[in-house]
Amino acid sequence: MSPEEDKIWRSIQRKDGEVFENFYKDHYKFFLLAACKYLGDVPLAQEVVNDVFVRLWQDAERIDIQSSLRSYLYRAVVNRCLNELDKNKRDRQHFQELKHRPEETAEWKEMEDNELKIRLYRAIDELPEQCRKVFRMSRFEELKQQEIADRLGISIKTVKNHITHALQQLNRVLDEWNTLPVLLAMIKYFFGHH
Amino acid sequence: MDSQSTYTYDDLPWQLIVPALQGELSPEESGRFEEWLAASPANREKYQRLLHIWQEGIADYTVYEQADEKQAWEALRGRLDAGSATDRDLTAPVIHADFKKRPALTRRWAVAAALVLVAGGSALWWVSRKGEVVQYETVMGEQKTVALPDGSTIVLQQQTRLRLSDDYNKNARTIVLLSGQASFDVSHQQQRPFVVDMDAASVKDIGTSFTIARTPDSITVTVSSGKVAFTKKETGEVRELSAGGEICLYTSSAHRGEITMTDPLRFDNSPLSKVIAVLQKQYGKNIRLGDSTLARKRLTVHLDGESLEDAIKTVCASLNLDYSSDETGYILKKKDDKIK
Repeated sequence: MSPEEDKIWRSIQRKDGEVFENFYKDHYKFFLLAACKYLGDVPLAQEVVNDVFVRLWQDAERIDIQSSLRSYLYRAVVNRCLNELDKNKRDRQHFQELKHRPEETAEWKEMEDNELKIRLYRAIDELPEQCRKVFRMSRFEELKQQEIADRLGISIKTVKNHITHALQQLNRVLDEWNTLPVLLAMIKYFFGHH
Repeated sequence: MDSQSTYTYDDLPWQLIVPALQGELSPEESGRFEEWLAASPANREKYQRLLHIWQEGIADYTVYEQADEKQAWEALRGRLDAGSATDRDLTAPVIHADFKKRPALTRRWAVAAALVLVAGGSALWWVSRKGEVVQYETVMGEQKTVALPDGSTIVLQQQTRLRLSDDYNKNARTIVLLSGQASFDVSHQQQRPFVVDMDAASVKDIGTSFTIARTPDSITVTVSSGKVAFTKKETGEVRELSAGGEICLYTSSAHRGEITMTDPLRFDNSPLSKVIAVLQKQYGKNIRLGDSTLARKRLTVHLDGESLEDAIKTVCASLNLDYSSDETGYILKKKDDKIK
């Protein structure tokens, strides 16, 4: 556990509600996306994430964390998701694919992918408003450049510029991610965040 | 980070990459793009990466975008609070003190007390960081009326818990209905909408009284006057519901996410007498029939969102009737007796 994370964990064990709240809010989306990947259901994913955090809070004194707090929670979220799928078996095919918990190395990789995703999403959030809007329409509403131009009353050239800018930012995140050794990235994550 | 980011973006032909990702390459561009790809493995790898990001890497951005850690935290806190309600007899309103204002020593004792509570098999209490949290709660068989500072009233049915937002009546008027059933009589304020939040859905008033029943697996809203906007948070779907209407959202089990809705202004093969009765109630205007035999004529129409005049026109058009209006209201009659 990094010293920073260790400090957080000790505070949570001492029932410091403020530290717990901040830690939760900083990591909620990270774990929500991870759970969503398994469950494909946002409210259920939220329930699972909250279950895990309720337990973390209530049993904090009794929990012994060997690895890192984040990977402990990640594993707990994945386990809860698998239980949930097992319980409901509502999407059998999906369930078949995911029935087995990932190997430890695969779990590490999954967590990393999830982290990259969060970084990409933060980069999208940080785009200038109009740029973000155009990018959203293009990727998530699947509108053609011309349609976007018409809807927003801007030129097609501006639309292209916005999408290009957005992709350049994502490319930058991607390049940074690939340049950093994994370990360094994780350490940077822990230290860069709190 | 700056030394990292000195890569020259000009190396990449974005004017080709962007339309390629969107599937909007012209034949001429397509040729040039193929050339670029063929030029080096690095180019192909770069494009593959970008394509992966574009197609799968950011596929669930909308989930991320809509995810709300504050709301999720409230839900979490609600659950931690819920534990404390079982063992203690709470009388409303429960006003939690603020730890932060206390000196450090007292605070340590307070933490210790909380720990004792936890250890003792009972649950913990939770404290607002910003100030006081006002929570109302009823026990079995109890009913309670709460008058809010803005003139709105809430009637809590038995075993109901709800909480006012920290800044209630300052910036917004948000109420979190944690469980149970409550009726709301809202004093409408354009600039401060009244919102009831229930994790999976929220209801916003548009000058209204309405009732919400929240059970572990469903949320049901019944509107007695005015109109509300019901938002299903998962999808952002919004439905307007007017007086007499009821909407139900399932929040667990196999039917999760399913919505059933009865709108009083949707008629399916209903007798004209019923349509008129509903319109009169909705709009508070008198509507009469020129001929009582018309009452049995049946029609299927959707009148939601229409003005009374338009609704009357739609009804007349579908039954081939005529109408006239005077200061008392509207009269519907057969087309051929309009000479009378």
